[in-house]
Amino acid sequence: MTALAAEDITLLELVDRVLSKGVVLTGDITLSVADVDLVYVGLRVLLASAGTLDRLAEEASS
Amino acid sequence: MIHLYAFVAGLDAKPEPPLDVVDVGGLAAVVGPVGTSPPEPLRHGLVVEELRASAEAILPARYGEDFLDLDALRRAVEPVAGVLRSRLERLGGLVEVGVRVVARDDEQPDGRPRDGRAYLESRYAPYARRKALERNLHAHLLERARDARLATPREDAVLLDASYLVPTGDVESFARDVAASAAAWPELATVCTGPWAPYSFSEEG
Repeated sequence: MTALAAEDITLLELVDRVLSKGVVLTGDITLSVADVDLVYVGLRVLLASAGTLDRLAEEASS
Repeated sequence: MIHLYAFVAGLDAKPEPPLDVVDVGGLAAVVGPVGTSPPEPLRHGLVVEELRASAEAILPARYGEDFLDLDALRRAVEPVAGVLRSRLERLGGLVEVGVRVVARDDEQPDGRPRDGRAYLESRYAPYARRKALERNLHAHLLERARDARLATPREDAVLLDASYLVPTGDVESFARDVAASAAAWPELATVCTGPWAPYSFSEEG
């Protein structure tokens, strides 16, 4: 594990919450736009990868 | 397509366009447009935190709650509007503080275990430390919070991943308490973050 600056940790904690917690409404509605939703589900996984989080944190702190 | 950021109560100023506050099932929902790409998670999080700072109560939406149009959002909200309203009420004036305890690098065992017993002991060590932290640090902090949630750590190095629900005015004293309590475990790194919108407490209650 590499040492992270306080701002980076804060951003990672925020993104972690945004991606894994919070109100989720019933799945029925998103199924009705299944094509679009699949894209987002894929994106959610991609954005949760460590490399992307590092990049997000870098962009936000620059 | 519209993106749902949060449900709010007692917002003191209307958010800047393109964000909008719409009434859905008697709840004030903060929404924004979804262009060719959805807003990034970080952007979603920053918008929610701005709302938290200016609202009396906030129920944050998880990232990815996108709807075809306002009617689709209404159809999704209306069956659960009562539940959402009572959660929002319960969370009024409260925020979330995150506490994560991580083993420092030099605590990791290096080299191959001597024998089977040493191997099992090395596998058991994180579990034993987690239980000790839950019994001590977590139990102590829980007494000072309105509620708490423990997440299952995804890595061996993470020994405690907890979120505490505290009144907005108590965040600083709570954080000082975390720092003072963490001093009992100098070999561990303790990270306290917040205040956050109560993400961990928005799915039940």
